[in-house]
Amino acid sequence: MDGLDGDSAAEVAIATSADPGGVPVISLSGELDSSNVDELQRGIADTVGRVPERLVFDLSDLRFMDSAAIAILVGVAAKVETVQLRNPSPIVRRIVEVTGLSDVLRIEP
Amino acid sequence: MRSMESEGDPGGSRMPSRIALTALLIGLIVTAVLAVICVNLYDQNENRLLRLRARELGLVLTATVPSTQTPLAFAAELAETTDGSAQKFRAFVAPYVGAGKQFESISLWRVAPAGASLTAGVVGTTPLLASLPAEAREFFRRGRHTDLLNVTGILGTENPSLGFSYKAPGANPKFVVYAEKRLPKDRRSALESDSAFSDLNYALYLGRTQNTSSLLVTSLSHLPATGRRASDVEAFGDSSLTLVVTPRGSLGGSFFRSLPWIVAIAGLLISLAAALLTDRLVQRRRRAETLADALDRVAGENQRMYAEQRSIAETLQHALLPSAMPEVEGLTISASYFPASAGIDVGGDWYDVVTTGEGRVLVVIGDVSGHGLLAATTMASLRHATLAYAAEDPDPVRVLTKLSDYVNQGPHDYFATMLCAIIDLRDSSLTMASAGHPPPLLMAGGHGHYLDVRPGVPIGVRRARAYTSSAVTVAPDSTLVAFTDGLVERRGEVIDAGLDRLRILAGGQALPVEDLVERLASDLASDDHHDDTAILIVRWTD
Repeated sequence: MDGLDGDSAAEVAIATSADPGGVPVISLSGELDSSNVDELQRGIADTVGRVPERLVFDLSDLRFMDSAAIAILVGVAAKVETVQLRNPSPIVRRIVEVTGLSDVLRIEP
Repeated sequence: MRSMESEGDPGGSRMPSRIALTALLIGLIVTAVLAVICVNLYDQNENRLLRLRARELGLVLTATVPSTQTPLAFAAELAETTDGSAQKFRAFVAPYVGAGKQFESISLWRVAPAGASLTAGVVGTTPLLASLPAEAREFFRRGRHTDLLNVTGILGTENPSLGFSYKAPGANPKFVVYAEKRLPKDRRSALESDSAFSDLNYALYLGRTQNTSSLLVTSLSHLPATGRRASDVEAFGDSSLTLVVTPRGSLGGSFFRSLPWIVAIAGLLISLAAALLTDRLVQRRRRAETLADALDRVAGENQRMYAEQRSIAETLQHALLPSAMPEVEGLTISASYFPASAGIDVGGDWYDVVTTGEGRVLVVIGDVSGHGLLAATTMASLRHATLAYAAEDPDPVRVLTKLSDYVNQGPHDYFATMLCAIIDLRDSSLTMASAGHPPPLLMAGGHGHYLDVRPGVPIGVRRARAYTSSAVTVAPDSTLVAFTDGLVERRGEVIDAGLDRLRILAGGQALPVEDLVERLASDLASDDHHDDTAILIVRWTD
């Protein structure tokens, strides 16, 4: 399994900041799957709860994200007008494409 | 969980274990036996020692007889040869008489068969016997006929004394020498601490009986002697001395006296320690056994519950899924659901194959996000809604659109990917629409490719764009493999890698559809997959 222990929970770090335009940026690093999506849900609840017009997920350091994590982002997209994914890895980029979410989770280079 | 009433109470007040009590009891019994043996041995030893001491003391007393007898014997000889010369007699015996000397008085008596009379030969105080004519007559009558030291006790008087007489050898002596020895007034004698017999109390009686009236001297404050005692009778002139001794302490030494106590106390302590140790060990073992039992039970319980829940989950899942694929001429169809390899959650994967008339078959496969009962019930409701909409109009785009509108009209916090396809057997066409679902694999002639289906947003996500359909013409003997992402998605790799793996594996197989479903699942989804998986395979037959 590519050197990954399938039984261990994935680990993710969540940091919140804002870009110069005042748009909240949630930076995710590590890995996200069904074993730790609750952590993501809790980690972004405050930021999402303020219902900003735009929200950026910076995925530069996120190696992997499965459909369970995508579901959380989709849930965010249901509340926030525009959700952008900044610099996602090819893995994440393909998941977004395959699940037809390119219109909902806009990928920035 | 069963209650644990049988486990006892490891803390708090508890009864000592039976084996510990047994150990204590055995220890105490052994201790008691040893102590009793010690007491008996000590007793026997003390008695034996006391008898030896009494005998020794008796011999010492006997040894004093010559020292009493000898001066008197010589004085008697002298009196016989000097015909009772008072002057010579007095000169001879004077060194033996007086304070600190052997005798209180020595006197010379003239004896005849009729009686005895005191001569002028008197040294020291006037003999007490002189004032007791009846006793004197009896005493000298005896004294005339014995060659032994003649002994009498003058004990009932103010100055209790012992009287000794001795005559010169011969049948008809004319003289008898008489000496008196004063006894202490109360007949009590303090023991000399440096004496060889300082470890004894004694009572000395004249004669063979131990009457108070015949007591000569004692170191005891109360008579008769009580407790451990020994007596010895020794000849003393023509009479005898009876000696009674009691030990003042332990003759064998204080260690031997203490030995029974030492044995008892040491035994008691050892027994208690052994019992405590035994108890501790028993408790420790019991606790370890209890703990091991409890762990075993909990582990067994967990295993059972896990298996039970997993089985419940699987049962529920299978109840929510179609029990059999429809029989359709020209097609063989097989589908199966594979729960995640770990965990007990039900999942949200589903599939359906329904004939819609006019040679058309609707194939649906979907995946509700998340796990658990909510995902499963959401799946069930989506599945039935899909069937309802398909009954109205099986066109894939319209089914997905109606389903999307239905879900989006109310609040919800899930989404579902879904592939909807219509197989038309009349013109061998396959028309599909996807709501964010991975594309199906179509295999023909040993080669497979993923069908180009433009995915719309998953059901439950606001649409910015309408769902679109795409259609292909299917060659005979083609095989369609539809699946959920559990089959191809692995942590740490692009989904395309999983798709390629599936394509290559499926392309190399020439198996009946049922076996192909199992092969794909066992090769791709069985090792350590965290997501549940559904696989649906349709093969066009001639």
